Amino acid sequence: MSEDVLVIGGGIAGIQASLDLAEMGKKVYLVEKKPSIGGIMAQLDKTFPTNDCSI
Amino acid sequence: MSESINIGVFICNCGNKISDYIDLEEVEKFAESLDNVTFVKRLPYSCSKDGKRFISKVIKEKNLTHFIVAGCSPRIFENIFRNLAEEAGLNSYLFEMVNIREQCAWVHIDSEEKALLKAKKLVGMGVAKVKESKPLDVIEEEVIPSALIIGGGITGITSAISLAEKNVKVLLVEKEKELGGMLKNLYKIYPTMINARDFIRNRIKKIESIPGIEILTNARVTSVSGCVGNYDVVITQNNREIKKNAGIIIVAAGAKALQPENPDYGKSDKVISQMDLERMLLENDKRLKNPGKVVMFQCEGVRNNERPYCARVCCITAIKNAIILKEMSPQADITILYRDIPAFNEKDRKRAELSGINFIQYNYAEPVKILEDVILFTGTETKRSGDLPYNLLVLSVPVVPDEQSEELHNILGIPLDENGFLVEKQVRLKPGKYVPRGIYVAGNVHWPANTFESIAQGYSAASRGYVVLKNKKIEIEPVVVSYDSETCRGCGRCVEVCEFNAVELFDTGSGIKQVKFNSIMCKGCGVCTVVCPSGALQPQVISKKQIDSMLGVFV
Repeated sequence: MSEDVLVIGGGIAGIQASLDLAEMGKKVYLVEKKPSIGGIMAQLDKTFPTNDCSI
Repeated sequence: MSESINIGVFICNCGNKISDYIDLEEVEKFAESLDNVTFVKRLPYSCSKDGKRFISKVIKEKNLTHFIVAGCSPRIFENIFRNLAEEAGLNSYLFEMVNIREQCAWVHIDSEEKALLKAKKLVGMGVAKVKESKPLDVIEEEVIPSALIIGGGITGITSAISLAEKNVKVLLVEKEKELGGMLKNLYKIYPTMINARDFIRNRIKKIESIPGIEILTNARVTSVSGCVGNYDVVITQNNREIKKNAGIIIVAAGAKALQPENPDYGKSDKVISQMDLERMLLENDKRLKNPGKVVMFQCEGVRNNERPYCARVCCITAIKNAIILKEMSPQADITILYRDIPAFNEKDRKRAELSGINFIQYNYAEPVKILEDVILFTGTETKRSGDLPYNLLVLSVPVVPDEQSEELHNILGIPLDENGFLVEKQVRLKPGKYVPRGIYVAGNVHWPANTFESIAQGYSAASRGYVVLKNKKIEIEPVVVSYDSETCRGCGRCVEVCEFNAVELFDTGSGIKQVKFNSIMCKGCGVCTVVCPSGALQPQVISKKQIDSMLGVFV
């Protein structure tokens, strides 16, 4: 069985899943339909309630 | 190393986000005038590929022994420059980040002059500090390949099964006499309307069949020491202390439903709580056969001064039970008297309306009065007082923190929020990550969650914990205090102030006391170094000498 993982969608959920899997030592393929990853969150300035820069 | 000190200073324009407010040419000139500074350069973006390549090249070519980057906050990029230092063959603790963006340029937009002065001082202090920095090595520790899970509700059970499936040894500690948590006391789970008890019993059966999971019931965790990868845990069960080790800890201790504080509750058996209703449904109570007029009163004991939060799950619980009651007795007249229904429950409200449940909104600013068989309120639409006669009044109570939360806050050092729930380190961006490393929090103990959210969080905590356990070894930052037994007088003041049990006083045998210092437990806060009268305890990352020379630049 292949141990590699395919993650579809490069928004915050996909990025987090990919990072966690990579930390577990898995090879991850992250596929995003847009030219860059980041999704909706990359378009936000700050996120509530901590007002952190959202990238 | 000992021959000469060559300090490099890299000043970041950050696009124009710093250079627009600070005359960086002046800062550059100032840096060049400092002792031991042998290289200064302004860069458009130090953190870019080109910037990093350039810094790396300079470190090697100019034989830099230390360097600073004056730019943004260290929060994101400090680690990146530390790695860069290591790659260039320099110990990463011989690097210092100086924040001239958030803490200088951006807060002094109105005065270029003051911003420039401050930037110079900050750079000067950075150089003064880094000059005295000593190389430090990351501390590497073995990881104990087992997990402690506190709480045997659906969240803890989910985490336990998930970890056991990855061959991790699990110790599950439950304070009650049996597993199952809140789901034991619920009738059905929304929206699938599956039987909550059957569901949780199946999970309990499953967890009990896995040999790698040890379950302790009637047990509480009473003390935890150590750090990620190596926690020493004391569990108290029937007045007996059990000592265990664990590499990670998952806190899934749950919460509880509020016992109504309303003086009208309990006056008669007509005024009950939503949890009482769950129990009556479970017991197939005869009174629910033909309940007549049923009113469910929302936001009981919550969203007030004492509990200024929305407990999220009470509306859906009312909707669920209203639908169930209506199906059981179609002639029942059921009204949900609400303050407002959270938007994500809108489709569920529709489902209830279609089953014939009435919804009336009350004005929370006006008093609500519960009489023997009628509830008086002020409507928001009619703006007039209204009354609803009832045969059964159900107070929808919120999820509130269990007493154990405070206990866990004291034992584990996880902060509590103003409502008494355990707090995340960074609510949005780092869910599930808490201040002490290797401790993960999931389920109701952290915020009211429904069954499916609890399960998801249980899985999430397990997979995050597994990342630590899988690696067998863990790196701990050497941001600790150094201890010199020669100068220690054994006064024990450090023991009194240490929050992390990193220091212990012991008798050397001849009546002379000394301190046993544990660098793994030390978090490097430095409180002990302030009270130590002999200077035996010294902060390693920022020594007294460094603070002195930084202050020398500042004043």
